[in-house]
Amino acid sequence: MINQHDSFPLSPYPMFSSRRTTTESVDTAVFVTESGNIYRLNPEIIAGTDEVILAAQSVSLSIANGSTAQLCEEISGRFDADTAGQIEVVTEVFDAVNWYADDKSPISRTVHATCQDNS
Amino acid sequence: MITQLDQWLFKAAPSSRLATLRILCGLYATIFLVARAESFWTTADLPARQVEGVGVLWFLDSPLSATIFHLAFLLTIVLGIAFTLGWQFRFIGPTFSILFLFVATYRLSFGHVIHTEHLIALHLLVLGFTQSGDALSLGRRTQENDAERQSAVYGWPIQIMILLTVITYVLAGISKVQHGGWDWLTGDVLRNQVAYDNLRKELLGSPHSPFGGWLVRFGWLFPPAAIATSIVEIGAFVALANQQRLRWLFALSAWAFHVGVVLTMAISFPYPLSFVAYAPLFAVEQIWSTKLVTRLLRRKTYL
Repeated sequence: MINQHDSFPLSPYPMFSSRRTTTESVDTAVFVTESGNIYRLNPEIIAGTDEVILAAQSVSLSIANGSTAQLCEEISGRFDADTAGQIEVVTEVFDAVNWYADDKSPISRTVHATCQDNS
Repeated sequence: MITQLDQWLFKAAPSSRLATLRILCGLYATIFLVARAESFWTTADLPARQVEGVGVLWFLDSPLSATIFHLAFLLTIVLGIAFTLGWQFRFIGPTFSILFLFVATYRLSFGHVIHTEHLIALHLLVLGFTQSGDALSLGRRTQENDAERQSAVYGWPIQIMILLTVITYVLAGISKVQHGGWDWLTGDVLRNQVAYDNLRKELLGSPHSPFGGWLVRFGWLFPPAAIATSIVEIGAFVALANQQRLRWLFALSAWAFHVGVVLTMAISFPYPLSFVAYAPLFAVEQIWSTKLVTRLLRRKTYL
């Protein structure tokens, strides 16, 4: 019906229209301490931007084109941890609705790259 | 039919209405650029591997020089002020609207298109290439600066701005039904979207909406919210009618929809939220004769 090729300033405005299920995967990067605690990194550390969607897309693109090791090193350069640990580029799958019903255990977790914090 | 279209499009309007829209949109765009300066500025440092040109920069496959982009961005802000003031408008109008299009396009050429600047970019192009500098402009002689002049020359750009606003909403509404199908109208897609969007923000260490997360627990809320969203978006065409009541109905319900998006997903569409996006629907030149503005202008005169 409408050409779905998104562009600027002309667009089919596809935001919020994807046929999402409750189970969705999120590509992100985290800092994992030696004791196994997971700390979330913000978009500026992950991708050098304050746009969350762009940060998510940066991780997804790096997974798609096999450059997660490079991304991991770039994140490491932007991150200053005060404890020992490593950075992981991951895909986490959650039931998003259950998450907000306090079931926060991941359905699956795939680590694409790890690197030491350089700080 | 063609006569009706002709009458709708070439409706006479005072020069001050188009000029007031220039001031409102120019001011909004300039404030937006300053407020989002960090995001624009750091675009120049994004990795080359992410470059994916869109729109007028469709050919882009490597980043521009950071210095050139930074200079273009700073120039856009300066020209935004001149555009708002209407100074040297024959030159500044087109130049600013094209520069805004350029810097906004470049920011979106790194792998993902967000939809906060589409409508203002289109509105600026309309204002920049028409006679919106004929009134309320700095540096024009009084006889040229006639705010009361009525003509279709000032009317058709406003009608185009209205049409662009309406098309934006109708397309967004159609996209939702086209992608989400029946599940969109039953509220399932919307509920999952609110849950996913907030979860993604949490996992990416970004501000999210705890309120939206809490609402996800109540599935029954989402079918009426989804239907209301579709009515507002697909029903936007009512704003094409020259009836103030219908226009207010559309503008207020669309604005309320955007407030709802902020509250449930922490996603801000600043142009509609500022209400400037809906300004072409109304006789905005009347703001200059409101008591508050008259008093402010008078006080400035005394100074």
